[in-house]
Amino acid sequence: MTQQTILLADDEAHITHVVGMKLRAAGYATVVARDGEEALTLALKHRPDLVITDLQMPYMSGIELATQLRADERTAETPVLMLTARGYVLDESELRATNIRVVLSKPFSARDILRRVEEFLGRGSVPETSRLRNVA
Amino acid sequence: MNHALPAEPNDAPQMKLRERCRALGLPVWRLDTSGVVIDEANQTGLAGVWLRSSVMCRMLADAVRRWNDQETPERLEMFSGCYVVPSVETIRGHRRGYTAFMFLTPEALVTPEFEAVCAASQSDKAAARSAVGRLATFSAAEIDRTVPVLDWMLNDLNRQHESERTIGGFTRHLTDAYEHIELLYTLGNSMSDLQDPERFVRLAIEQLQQTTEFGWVAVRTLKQSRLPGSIADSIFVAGKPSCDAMAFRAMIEEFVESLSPDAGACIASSSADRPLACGAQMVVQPIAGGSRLTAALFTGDKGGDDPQVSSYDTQLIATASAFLGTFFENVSLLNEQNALFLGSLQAMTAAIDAKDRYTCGHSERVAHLATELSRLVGFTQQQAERVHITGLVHDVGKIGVPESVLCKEGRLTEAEFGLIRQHPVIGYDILKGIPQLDDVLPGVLSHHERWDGRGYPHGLEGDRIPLVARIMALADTFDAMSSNRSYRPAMARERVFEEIRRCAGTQFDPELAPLFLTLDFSEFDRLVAQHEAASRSVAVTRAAA
Repeated sequence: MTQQTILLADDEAHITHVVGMKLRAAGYATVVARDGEEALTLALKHRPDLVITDLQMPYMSGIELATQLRADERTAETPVLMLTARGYVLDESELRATNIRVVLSKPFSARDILRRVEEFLGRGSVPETSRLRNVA
Repeated sequence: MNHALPAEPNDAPQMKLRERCRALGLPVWRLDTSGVVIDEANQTGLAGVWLRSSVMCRMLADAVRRWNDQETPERLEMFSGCYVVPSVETIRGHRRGYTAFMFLTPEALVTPEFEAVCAASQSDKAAARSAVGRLATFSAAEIDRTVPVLDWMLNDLNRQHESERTIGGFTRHLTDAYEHIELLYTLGNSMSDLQDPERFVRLAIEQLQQTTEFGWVAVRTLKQSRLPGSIADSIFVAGKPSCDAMAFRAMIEEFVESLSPDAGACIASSSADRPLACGAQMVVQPIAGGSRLTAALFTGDKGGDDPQVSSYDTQLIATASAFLGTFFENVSLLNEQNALFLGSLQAMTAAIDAKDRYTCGHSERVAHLATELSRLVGFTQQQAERVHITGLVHDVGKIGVPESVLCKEGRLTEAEFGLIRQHPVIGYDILKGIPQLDDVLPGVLSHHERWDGRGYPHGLEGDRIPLVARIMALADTFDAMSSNRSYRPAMARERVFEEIRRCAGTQFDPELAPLFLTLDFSEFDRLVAQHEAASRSVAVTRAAA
C-alpha cells in the first residue's frame, strides 16, 4: 500500500508539530502549511488524501480553504477535518460547499486526531473495549 | 464572520541572514518580484554610492526577471567578476521577492560595466575603484564555497525560527494547561467539605476568574433548588462586571428565566436588537443536579489577546461547572438528610411532649434557650447546632415514665418521684444506640445534676458536670418555671429571674446563671405563645372527639 499523505494547515506551529509527529509515527506522510493560501497551493501540488485545517488562519480561513478545495476538481473529493478553538457549527450552505466531514474543538489530544484520521482513511479500526466475563 | 487572521511578518530568518551578511561586509539587497528595490545595500562612502547607482539597480532588475523564470533561481554573473546570489522569499505559498547577495572579484573592477556604473553615479573612476576594490576580494573558488554556506545558514535559521514558534506555542499552552489542572485540583480537593458551601462556591468562581481572561464569573443559585437556604436564591460574583450592579443583576435574571436543565452551555453575543449589559459575549452554563436545574454559571467581559470566547474557555467552564454541580448535589443531599434527621427528632420530642399537655413545646423551647446560651459562651455554629439537638432530646427518657405519674395533679409520692428521676438514664439508654448522637449523651444524662452535687442521677458536682448539661439545666428550669404546670401556674418573668439568681452557685453554675439572664427572651416568648395556641387547638379537637 502506498503511503497516504495528509496536509496539515495551522498557523500554530506547536499544533502541527504534535499532530504531524503522531501521524508520521502512524505511517502517514505529512505536508505542513502555515496559512490558508499556502495550504491551497500545497494541496493542489501534493494532492493529499486528507486535509486537516484550522479554522482561523492568516490570509485564508479554513472554511475558505475547504470551499476552494471543493470547487477545484483536482481536490473536490478530498475529505477535510477542521480544527477550531471556537465551538464552530457548520451551517447547511457551508456543509454543501465544502468537504468538511468533522469539526474538532481544541483542545484535543493527538490520539483523538489519529482516531478520526483512521476512520477517514480506512486503515484498521481501533478495537472496541471488550468485556471479559468470569466463567465459572 | 471572517475567520482569516491578520498576517504576522514571517521573514524573520531572511532578515537575520541579511543582517549577518551585512556584518560580514557583503552588499545585500531585498527586491520584490517586479525588480523594485525594497531594501538597498548599506555600504557607506563611495562604494555605497557605486552600489546604489541607477545602472546597478537596472542590472539587478534584469537579474530578478531571469530569476522569476527559474523554478530554483540560481547565481548570476551580472558582468564579468560581479556575481549575485538569490534567496527566494515566499509568502502565502507564492514567491514574493528575493534577497540578493553580491560577490565581487578584482576582475570586476576593470570591466566596461564597472565604468558605466561609475558614470551613472558620477563617481571618479580611480576613487571608486579603490573604494569598491576593498569589497572585491573574492576569488571564484571562494564564491563557490561560500554560496552553499549561505544556503545552509538560511535553512538553519528557518528551522530555528520554526522551533521557536513551536516552543512558544507549547509554552503558552503548557502554562494554560498547568493553570487549568491547578484549578481542577483545587476544586477536587475542596469539594468534600460540605460544612460551608458558600466558601466552596466563592473559591470556585474566584479561581475560575483568575485562571481565565474573563472579567467576571458569577453563579446564580436557584430558589426552587434543594440547596440549603444559606446559598439558595443568590448571585455570587468574582471579578468586576463592566456595568453597574443593577444592570448586571437584570441581565443575569433575564437569562435565568430561560434556562433548562438539559440544555448545554451557550454563548450569548451582544447584538443591536439584544445588547448585553456588559461585554461582547457571555457564557451561560446551566448547572444541574440529576434532572433538576440547581444553578447556572455565567462568565463575561473577556479580555486578553483574544476577546472571543474559545472552546478552551468553554471546556474549562463546563468542567468547573460539573464540579459545582456535584458539590451542589452533595450539599443538597446532606441538607435533606439533616432535615430528615432533625424532623425525626422533632417528631420524637413532640411525641414525648404530647404525653403531658403542660409540657407542650417544652423541648423545642429548651433547645432554643440552650442554643442561645451556648453561643454566648462561645460555642461554634457547629457545636451550637449539637446543643440544639441535645435540647430537643433531653427529655426523651420520659417515654419510660408512666403518664399517670407525669401528669399527676398534686404532690408526688417518693416512689413516683423515683420514677421521674430515672428519665435521664432512660433517655441515655434509648439514645446510646445511635452513633450519630454520641455527643449529645452527656447533656441528656446530666441535665438534672446540680452545681452543689445534690442533683440526679449521679450527684455530680461543679465542673464535673458537663458544660452542656449545666447549660441544659438552666434552660430546662427556666422553661419549667415559665410554663403552667399541673401543680402550679406559670411564674412571672421577674420571679423566675430572681429564682435563678438565688440558685446560682447551688443549683446552677454561678458563672453561667448571670449570663443566661442577659439573653433576649423575645423569641422564647413567641415560641410559648405559638405552643399555647397549638395546645389549645389540640385540646379542642380532643374534646370534639
